[in-house]
Amino acid sequence: MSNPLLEVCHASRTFSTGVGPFSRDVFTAVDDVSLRLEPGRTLGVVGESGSGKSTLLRMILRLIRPTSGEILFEGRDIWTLSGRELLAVRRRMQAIFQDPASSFNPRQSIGAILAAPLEVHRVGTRAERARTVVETLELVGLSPSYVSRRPHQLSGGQRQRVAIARAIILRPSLIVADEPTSALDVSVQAQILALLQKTNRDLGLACVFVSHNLGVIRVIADDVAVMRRGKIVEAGTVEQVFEKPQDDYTRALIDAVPDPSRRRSAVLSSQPVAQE
Amino acid sequence: MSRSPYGTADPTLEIRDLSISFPTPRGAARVVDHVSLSIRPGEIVGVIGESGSGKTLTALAVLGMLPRGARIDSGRILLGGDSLLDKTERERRAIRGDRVAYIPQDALRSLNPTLRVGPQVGEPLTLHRSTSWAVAKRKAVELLAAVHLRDPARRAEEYPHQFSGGMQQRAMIAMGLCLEPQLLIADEPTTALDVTVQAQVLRLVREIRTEHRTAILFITHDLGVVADLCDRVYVMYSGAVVEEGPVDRIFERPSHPYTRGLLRATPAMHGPKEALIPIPGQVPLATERPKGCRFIDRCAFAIESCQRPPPWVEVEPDHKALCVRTDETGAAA
Repeated sequence: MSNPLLEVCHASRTFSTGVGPFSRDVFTAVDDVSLRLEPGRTLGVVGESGSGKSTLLRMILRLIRPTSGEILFEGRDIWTLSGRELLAVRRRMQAIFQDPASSFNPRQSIGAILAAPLEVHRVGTRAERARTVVETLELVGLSPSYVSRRPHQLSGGQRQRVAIARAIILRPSLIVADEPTSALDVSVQAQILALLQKTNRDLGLACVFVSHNLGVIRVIADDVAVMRRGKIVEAGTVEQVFEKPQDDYTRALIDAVPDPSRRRSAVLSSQPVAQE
Repeated sequence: MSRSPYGTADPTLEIRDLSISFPTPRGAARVVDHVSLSIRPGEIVGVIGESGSGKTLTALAVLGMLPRGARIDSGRILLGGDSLLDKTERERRAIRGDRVAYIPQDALRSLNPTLRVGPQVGEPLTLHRSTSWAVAKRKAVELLAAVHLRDPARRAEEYPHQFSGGMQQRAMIAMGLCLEPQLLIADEPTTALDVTVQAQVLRLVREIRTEHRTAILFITHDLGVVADLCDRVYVMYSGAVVEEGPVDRIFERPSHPYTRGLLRATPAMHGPKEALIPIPGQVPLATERPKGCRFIDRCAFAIESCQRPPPWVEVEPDHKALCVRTDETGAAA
């Protein structure tokens, strides 16, 4: 087995729910979770609301400190890092969020939004940065003319393309995506999933992909972890978990998804593929 | 084969040739374009489409709740034979909540946060039947029990924020059922819910149909929900219905290229794991639709004659598509 890129070791996080600083009432959002992710693989995390998947994600991004346990990125506990070392880790770990409208500064142009990570990490000269921005836009299927547009002039799908561009522009090794297609229509969702698969493959990125949509996880992920009440109740490859779920909750979750494929016919397999 | 056992009854709702537009600086935007649909008693009819397809506005027109500025350009809406568009606002208000109930997507925003749930659920009785509050409250508890809330008497005394999302949606359904409407319009009622909770709400909708023979118009963007719940379906794209038919037939033989595209873009839970095939491009703006077929720019089947408005083609009994290429789309097996 190769070295994991990301390793979560017995991570827990509790939040105080009581009133006042001395209250002992706590809610355990993430409860002794361990997982590992190898370079280039995509891990899907599924769970219903309140299962702790977003808290887990924020701990991985070093936004919420675990109450106990460790988050190791390339073998080092990210919570022990600071200064230059931390900056280097941040550069290699990027995020995509659910709502692309609220994750951009509405007053900035797309060009400025995409150049910002390069500036923060002092990559290249001004001219080189401008070139990287245009190249990255092309990678996500947007023309260079988008550089001067602003977020509100873009559709939801286009905004999510910009979010992907911003995440990959520093050539990270890990992308953390929190419900990146939940706000999109199905036809656009399929476009964005295809784009993510392509960039992950071409750039060799590992990805933690959080979603409540099991169908989406089945398409995008290699491995899957099912969360419930802060714990991982089942983990394995997508094939194992979806074909032969071992846990009752996983099975209930899979059975609850209304599924058009049960009725889908062979007619569809014969369609010519439209060119974009 | 249709699953509806009520195939020959007169329709509860009939929409004929409905067109709605909004004025914009670039001319009128036709957001609902010659839409016709019908629902018979006890039938669950799905309207599926993506954002901007006009599905919600069609429903709001039935309710008489179109947003300010919307103009009805043509068409008729018949509820049990009564022409709704010819009625006064006062008459429509009497129909709303009584003969037609509406279940919105966001239940929490639709409930009054300052009132206990019980009185809200029973309120339609006091408004439409002049029932006393005491009786309405008793009825509300019965209704909450009917939508399978545990301990309904205690729940009726609680406030909406004390309910979970699924419970709030069930309270909305209870309120909708209060006066036993002929027609229930549900606009994406399960979109905000977790899948296991969604499954419970869908079961409840099926129960309502069986017990009350209510005609149900179910708006959704989720093909899975349509497959699970509906008897017939109308597929809407960019303001128009582009395919209609029994659910089994639409899934067996999707005939409009857009319907096929939607099916292939939806992640499947069973069968071989296939890559999703996106529909290229995006929905045209209502002011910038192509002259002929509105799907032409995104269609893999498009040919010369698609530059002209497409005809309705009957693919098989009760199953029609607005496309000249149905020989290709439906027949290829």
